[in-house]
Amino acid sequence: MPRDKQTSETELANSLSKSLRESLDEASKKLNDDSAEGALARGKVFQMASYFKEAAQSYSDALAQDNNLDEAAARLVVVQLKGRQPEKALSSAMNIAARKPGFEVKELSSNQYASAMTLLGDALVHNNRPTDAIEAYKVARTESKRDAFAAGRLAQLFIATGEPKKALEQARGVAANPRFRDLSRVLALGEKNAALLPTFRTGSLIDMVALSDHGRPLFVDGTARSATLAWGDDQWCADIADLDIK
Amino acid sequence: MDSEHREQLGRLWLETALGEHASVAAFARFVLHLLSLGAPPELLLDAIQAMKDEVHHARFSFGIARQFTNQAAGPGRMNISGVLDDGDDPSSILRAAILEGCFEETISAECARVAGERVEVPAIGAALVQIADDEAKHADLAWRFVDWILKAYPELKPIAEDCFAWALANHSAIEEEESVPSQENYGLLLPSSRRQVREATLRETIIPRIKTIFGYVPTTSLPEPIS
Repeated sequence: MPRDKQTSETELANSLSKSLRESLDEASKKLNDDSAEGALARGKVFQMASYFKEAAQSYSDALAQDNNLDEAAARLVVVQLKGRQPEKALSSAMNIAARKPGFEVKELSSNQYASAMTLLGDALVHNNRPTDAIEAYKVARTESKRDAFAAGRLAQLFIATGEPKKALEQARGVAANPRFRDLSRVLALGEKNAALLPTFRTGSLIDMVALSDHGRPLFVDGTARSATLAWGDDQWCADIADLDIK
Repeated sequence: MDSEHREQLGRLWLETALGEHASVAAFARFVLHLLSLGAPPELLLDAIQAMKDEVHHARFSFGIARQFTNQAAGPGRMNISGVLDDGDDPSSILRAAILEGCFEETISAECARVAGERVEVPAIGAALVQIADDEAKHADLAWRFVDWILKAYPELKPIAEDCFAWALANHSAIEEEESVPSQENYGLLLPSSRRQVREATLRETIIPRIKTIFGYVPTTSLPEPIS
């Protein structure tokens, strides 16, 4: 591995280790409490250990005791997404986003924050609603000062929906979050030369992958092109010797 | 077979023929792209061979079409304006190779093979066997090109991942098309059969080859939740 890349990986690992240790230490202090805060602390430990079902239950328990515990409501969305329960995650995300759209939750493994609207956007994408997700991320961008995810999510969605220029507009907000390192590299390429950005017009892509005629299609500007037909020209007609059509 | 049925089958074979003919231009463009990238000679030679193969495929198809329409037909003029405007930068060339080669030709080759198995006219079957063999080689050329370009231009890996992920995510959106009675007897797969072949080829050929390139199947459409 190149030295500068190894240095970067080491720095990231150290940063993650520090944040995870701090999150664990803080949660450990309340693990045995019967309170909503205790259930929240157990949820965090389960989440860090990837016990998502148990984490979701703990966060739900916390909310049952204190329905205004916004951190538990936000983290419940995260573990439901991680536990592949997109419908439940969307319901939970709508709940917190409607109640407190400006709420921000800190990642357990970093000092990066995600707002309730970003969590709603994530849940919408996982429910195959990218257009609604874009609107949610836009609100997160304008309403939340600390949100470090909405810009990256918007850039990903704009690339995916064939709007590379809009993706480039998010580049500055993406660079600070190490989770978007690959995306940041792609956007950096695009800033040098927009032609280097992935551009997929969804319509033309569907056209492309829906073709199945023989041969390699000649796409020009997203449309398959072919010659006109010239009747009476037999130079192109191979002799199909024993073709017998009744 | 009544005249209307013959005309329908002839029209489908003419569409196929024009598609094969357009492939010559697609490979001509690919040859220029390979030259622009400094690609190795074996890729260039295979791309040039593919152009020749496609000329033969077009001739087979026009020849078959004539048997149904009772009229000779061939390709007329072809608009090639803007053919090189979609970008000659490495990332655009890579995307075109993935979509047109790794996806389309891999599926086309399998469609031709299955069509050859179902056809009831031996002469059409013989042509389809040749077409299927050639198309499989052309598809393999696209995969070898992707292997090569990702080694030559490793910074393009995220673009390749995005492109594969999006092609996989959008593959199922196929419109219903009209079909002609007994068309499979004459070497033309029904839309429903093509859909089945497409699904099977994605599952059994394309996804495994993507895994050999990356070690995993890229999916960039869903955001990873925060931790």
